Formats: sequence, structure tokens, C-alpha cells
Amino acid sequence: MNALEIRDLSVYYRTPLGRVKVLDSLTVDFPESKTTGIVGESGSGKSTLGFAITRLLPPTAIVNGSIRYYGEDLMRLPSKRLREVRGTGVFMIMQDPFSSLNPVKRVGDQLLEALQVRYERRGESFDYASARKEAVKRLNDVKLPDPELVMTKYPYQLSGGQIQRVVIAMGLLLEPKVIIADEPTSALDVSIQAQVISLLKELQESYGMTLLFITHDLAVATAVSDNVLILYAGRIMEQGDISSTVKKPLHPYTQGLLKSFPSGSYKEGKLFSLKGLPPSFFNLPSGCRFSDRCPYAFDRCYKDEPEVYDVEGRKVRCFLYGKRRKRRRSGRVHGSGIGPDQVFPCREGRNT
Amino acid sequence: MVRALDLTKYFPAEKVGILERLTGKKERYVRAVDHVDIVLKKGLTTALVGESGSGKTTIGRMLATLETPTSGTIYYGNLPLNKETLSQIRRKVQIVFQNPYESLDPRMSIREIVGEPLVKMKSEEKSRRVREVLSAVGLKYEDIYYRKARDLSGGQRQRIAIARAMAASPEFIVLDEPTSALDASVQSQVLNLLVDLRGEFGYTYLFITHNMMVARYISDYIYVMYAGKIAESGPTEEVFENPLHPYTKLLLKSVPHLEPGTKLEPMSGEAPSLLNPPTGCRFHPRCPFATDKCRAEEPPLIDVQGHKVACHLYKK
Repeated sequence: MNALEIRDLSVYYRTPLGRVKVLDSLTVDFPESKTTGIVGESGSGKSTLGFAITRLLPPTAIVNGSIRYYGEDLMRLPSKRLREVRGTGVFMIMQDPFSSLNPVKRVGDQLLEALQVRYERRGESFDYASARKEAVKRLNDVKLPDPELVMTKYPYQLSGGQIQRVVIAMGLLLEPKVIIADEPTSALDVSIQAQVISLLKELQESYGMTLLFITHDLAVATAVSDNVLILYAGRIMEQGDISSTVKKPLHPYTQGLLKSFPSGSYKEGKLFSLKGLPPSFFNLPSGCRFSDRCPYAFDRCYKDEPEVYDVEGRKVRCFLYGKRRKRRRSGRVHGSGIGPDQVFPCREGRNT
Repeated sequence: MVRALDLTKYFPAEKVGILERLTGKKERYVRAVDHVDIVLKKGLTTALVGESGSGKTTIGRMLATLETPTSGTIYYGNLPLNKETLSQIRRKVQIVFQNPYESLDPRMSIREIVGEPLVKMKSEEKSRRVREVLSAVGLKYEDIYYRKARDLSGGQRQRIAIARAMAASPEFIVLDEPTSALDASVQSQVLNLLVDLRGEFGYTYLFITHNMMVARYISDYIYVMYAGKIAESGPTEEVFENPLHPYTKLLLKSVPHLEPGTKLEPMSGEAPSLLNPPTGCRFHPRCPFATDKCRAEEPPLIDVQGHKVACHLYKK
């Protein structure tokens, strides 16, 4: 069962310089009770995807395609029903914890407000005492010390890690089916990041939620997710389960990302680095969007954009894995000089 | 190259007026850096790692002469830092800031930004030098000199910031989180560039970062800071292979790796308030091995197995 099914989702932004297509015909399923890491660099469209699902995009955005949430097309929902889905259906944890709570209301009141919404939607009557008890219990679940005391505090009296936990507790109170976490740890220190990641993973497993974890850090995605989606310039480049993707990345971009991750010391040789910069949406390369940075690019990559190919149960958008039409005796892909089997494993091949 | 002895920086936490002073209110201080010794060897890279609030940026700013220490002395070579030597020392010291979106004036052209430190040069000489440093950081002068910082991407901006730091031919460069605002694919480009430049021009780097893997890659020597104190220091390889201080151990276990299936082991609690640091060892409230001694007595930094560590678990 899929919690979310996205078909041909395109998002454009109207800008003074014209329309830009920030997400380009995205088709992806998010299976229920699994964690999917959505990985990309800045400007890859990863946050836009999160906002598109919650329909929180700015008014300058134009959206095409469909996003089905348990069969219901979120793009066509009337606003009344949409409000019911938000919060108790799909809950989003924003990147900046400080801007996601109301600064002039106590934490406890904000948690109770969330609970009140849940009670109302289920047609139950709101009982202050038991609601308060539940809120304290959830704050305990997210491992905040002194939950009773935290309830009486204002957001500015808490640290970033504590606020992020309050937001997660609020999410739990709403009992959503899907949680979208947009870089929930990038404003936090390593030790707090590890706490929040383990917490989310633990809670996801015990409550069976579907978690979409948006991050720029492939290592963080590895620690938290079951599946991974690699975005580059608004396109899905690779998609599959996390352990095979990290162990044997298919797309040259994923390989480059993994290889450029610092490991060892500079004395052992230079880090691999992809040449160039991620493209601007105003000036996308023709053909494959990664073609101008790709070490394996050949003629066809500059002309046509590759479609998505299935390889070993994973999906990859790269001609290297296309149908081997004219097979040579060596079994290599015609024209490229390199077959998928020859693509380097990620941990080797440093250029010294 | 650079030695800082007994370096301390307190920031006043709140304004205490005359009236309040009369009523007996005491000033409170944030003890950002508390009696720290740091030695940077010439031509090598020393990394300073720690979480936010550990005092690493404050040390960097003090060594870059941007902040005056509350107490302690800094020597550059044999020159102690004081009012007379300040201008002489400043010529040798440069800093690259964390956020290239804020550290470059968006309305100045690249030529003006990179040439700004070269006030005493004639215009011809200046433009030759600007050309030189821009090509050293891998940018083409012709493509870029007329552009404004606002037109450039993060990676390009950070290259410009590095070029600006190089322009006045410093010997010592403080790099304050130079790659943490950059994307993964651009970060490795900048790290490689920094290693190359050091090889070519023999700079001494102080590399401040919260990213353990970056610190491991770039540095020869490492200082791990916690709450304004040095928890552990030593040659980078040794500290990573054989971390001694419980904080270093836990910190390394909190770093996510590209190994699927490894579980993170987060440490409990949060970094302490520097207004009111814990008594004894500052790490004791989060430390799994804390004893009564740790709560009462502050551990000195002692030599153990080739590194220095401030922890009661170890004896000389």
C-alpha cells in the first residue's frame, strides 16, 4: 500500500524573469510505514516537493499533475477537506524550528491547540485534564526533560533541539499518517542531530508512520531511511532502497556525491569532486541535466534527456543503463565505452 | 607559528548600569573561552572542532586579531600581540568567514573586493595581484572581475573570499567553517583548493569546523573543544583512531556515516550554559562515566598516549 502516489508532478514558479520549472514530471510512490530520504543539493527542488504535497506552495507557483494521498487527489481537494488532511493526515516539520512555533504562546497551549484539533476532527469532546496529560506524555516520548516545566515555557526559552522536539511531539499528538520532515536537523549540532534522528526513526517504527525525510546530506539519509530519492535540478535521477544505493550507486551524480564525501586524510589523496556547479533553472543544459558535469557523458547525453530505466529493482535516469541496442562482443553499451558493470564502486577510484 | 597561551574571553551577558551597580547587582559573564592554550605549527593545518557555543569561532576571531582577549597572550612567531605590534601582525593574518553570502559586499565588483586589502599598491600592481590570486583559486579574471558578488554562486563566492584573504600575502589564515554553507559537490572542490594553496604558498591554517569528517580530511593536528575548554587535542589521525575523551568518543559516534545499517549512538543532554557552567568537568552532566571527582574537580589537560586530554579517567 502506498501512502502517497505522485504522478507527473510539475511545479513552476512565476518570476520576473519568466516561468521556471522547478520540478519536472515527478512520478514516485511513497510506500506506507517506510522512511524515504529525499536527497538533493540546494535548488534541486526537494523542499518544493514537500510543500507541494502539503499544498503550502506560494501563490506564484503553478502545479500540474496529481498527488494521491491514500487514493484522494490532494491537488483537487476542496479547501475544507484539505484542512482536514493537513495536520492529522500529513504533518510537516519545517527546517527552521524557531519559526514553526508561535513566539507569544506558551508551548503547552500550542500543544493543546493541536490536540483540540484532533479531538474535533474525530468528533470527540475536548477534556482539558486528559489532553494535558497526553501532551506531557508525548513530551516525555520525545525525551524532553521536565515536560511539565517545558509546557509552561515560551519558545524563545528553549534551545533549537528542544523546539524541534516540541514540534515532533506536536506531530505525534496529531497522529498523522504521513510526516514530512524538511531538513529537521540541519540547524542543529551533531550531537543533537543524532538525538533527533534516532528519535524520529524510533517513533516512525513504533507508530508505523510514513516518513519523508528531506535532506542535503546523504549520510543523514543513510542513517534514517529505508528508501532514497536523489533529485538533481528538478528531476529524479535515482531511486531505490538505501543500502544498495549507497553501496552500489548507479547514476554518475550519486556516485560523484558519494565519492566527494570527505573520508580519510588529505595525505591519502585529493577528494573526488564533480566539476562545475549545479545548473540554474533559467539555463538548464539540453539533454540530460547532469550532462555538463558528468564524467561519462557521450554525444547522446547532450541531445536527448534519458528516461527512467529499471536496473535491479531500482530506477535510474541515465543512458548508461539504457537498452543495449547494438551490443558489441564485449557487452559494452554502444557509444559510451563503459557499461553499468564497469562503473566504479563508490569508495575507490580516488584521483591521487 | 602562532601560540596562544592561557587565552580567555568573557563576554558581558547583560548591561549593568550605575544604579544597578550601586544596588549590588553583579555583572555576569558568558565564559566563551576559558584558559585555553593553542599552538599552531607553521605550514600545517590545525582543526578546531566543537559544537555551537564551544568557543571555537571566538578563538578564531581572537587569533585573527578581530577580538581582544580578556586575558592571555598570543604570539605570532616571536611577536606578542599588543597595541604596538597589531598593525604589523595584521598584515600576516587573514580570515575567511563561514557565510560567503554575508561576508562579501553585494554591491562591490569582484575586482574591488579582492583588491580591497591592497590599499598601498598602485593600481597596475594591484590589478596584477588580483589577477594572480583569482587564477590561484581557479577563477578567470576576464570572466569575473566586473561582476558583483550577488551574481555568483556559493562556491564561487567562497573562492572570492579565499582570494581576498590571499591577496595581501598573509602567512596565517583563519578559516571559519569555510565549507559548511556549501553543497556537498562544491564542498569537496573548496577543500581540494585549500589543500593545494597551502602546498603552494605554505600557509598556516586554523580550520574551524563542526564537521568531524571535514576536520579529519583537512588537518594535521586537532583540538576538540567543549564549552569553552579543550577536551582533547593531538595529531588528527591519532585522535580519530584512538579517541580518549568520552566527549570525543561520543561525538564520533553521533556522526552519520555512509554505511547503511549502522546505528547512531547519540549522547544525552545538551551543551551547558556558559553563563553558569557546571562545576568540575564541564562535560560531567552528559558523561556516562562521571564520578564524584568529575563533579567537584576540574580535570587538567594532561599528556596521555601522545595526545592531550582533560579527563579524570586518565592518569599521567
